[in-house]
Amino acid sequence: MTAVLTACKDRETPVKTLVFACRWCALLGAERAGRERLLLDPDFRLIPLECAGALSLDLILRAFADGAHGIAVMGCHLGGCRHNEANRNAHARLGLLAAALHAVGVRRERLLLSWGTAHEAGQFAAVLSGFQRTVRELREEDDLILLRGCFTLPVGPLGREATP
Amino acid sequence: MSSLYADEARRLLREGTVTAIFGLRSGKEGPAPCLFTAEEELDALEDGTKYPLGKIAWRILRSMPEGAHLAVVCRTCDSRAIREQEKMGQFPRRRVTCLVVPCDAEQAERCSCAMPSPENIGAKGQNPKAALSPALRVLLDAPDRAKVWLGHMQRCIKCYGCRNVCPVCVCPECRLEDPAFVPVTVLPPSPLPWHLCRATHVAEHCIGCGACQDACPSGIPLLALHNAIAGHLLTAFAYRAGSDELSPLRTAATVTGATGAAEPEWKNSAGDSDPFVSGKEGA
Repeated sequence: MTAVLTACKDRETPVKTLVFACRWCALLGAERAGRERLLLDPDFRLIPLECAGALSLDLILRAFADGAHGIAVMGCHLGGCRHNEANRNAHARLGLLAAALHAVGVRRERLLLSWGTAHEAGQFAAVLSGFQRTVRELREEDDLILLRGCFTLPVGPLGREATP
Repeated sequence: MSSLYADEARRLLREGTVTAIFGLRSGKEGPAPCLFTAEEELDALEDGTKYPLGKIAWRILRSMPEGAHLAVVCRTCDSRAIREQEKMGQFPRRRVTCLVVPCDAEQAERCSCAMPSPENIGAKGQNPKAALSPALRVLLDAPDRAKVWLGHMQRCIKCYGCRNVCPVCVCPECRLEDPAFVPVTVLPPSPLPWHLCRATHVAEHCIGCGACQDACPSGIPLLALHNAIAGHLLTAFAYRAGSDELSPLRTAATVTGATGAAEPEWKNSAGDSDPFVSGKEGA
């Protein structure tokens, strides 16, 4: 959670994308993308996980409230999970979260679930850049006020959470 | 006011099939939950009101001595909630019998209930999202609903009523009481980590009883949110809480199994095909 908070509170980056990457596939893919010097938009923070299935939905919600504009969860291919198909559970859970976010009016494009392997560096870069482009386009959308929990003008009652 | 099940409850107690009956007792101030252990007390048993009995039944069932059996006179929603608690392993199986009182059409409409009568308890029934009243449905369909929801959620006074009354919200430690997750001094709480966290925690068990919405002193339309999520589970997994099946969120790994190369290379929810959200708009 500390890593999430640190990544989200960073004020330098205007549009923040948070990437949760499983350390067996997506993280290696990301590292390979770096080694191959693929063109990446630097406005993302990557948090390694043991498995995409280990990610709690609470953490995603907290990250949205703390300033993330888009969140990507990347894991192994379905069928290639190191932890007994745990990424299928991640798949089901994130679908549920997407439905819940959609119900209250948060754009579902802000959440991305993607599967890849360690050697698919090019695909990692392409998917991430595409996602960042989408999130950037959503920058002015009004669902941000719900994510952050306050109206953009200071009209809320006292004690509301400070926005970055 | 007497109960539909007064005679049967008397018979069950007399024959010793059950140790106690849990239901509503009529009184001067209105009905209140009561644990009946003697036959003559059952004259006061009534079932004319919808009352959130599920959470109280859970407390009783958890502390019941070995060998005891409880009968609960309740509505369909509470009986499905008790079924969910049993599935979660909150108390040993075959400890409870539900005597289910059907709800009338008026009550069913008030609760946006898709299965008000006991006949179809185990059935999948109507999509809970479609069962919503037009007033609640508009909250899920309006394009600018984020603002409307924020308006509702900003009225939250953090009373924990929605959590306390929920019959399937049974964790011993609550995320909403974790000061690192929900800052203690902040009011109203941030909508996503509070309302959506609670909603997603109970999502797979939520039977749509609407107790949270009824309990909310600020009138936040929580039932619309819960029914939307339940609608997603029904369309995506053909699963409905309160049935005998296990939740798809727990069994996705074991039931679906490996499909290997048949899976697409990269699943991308931001793309057009949108493969991982099955609850499409208007579903």
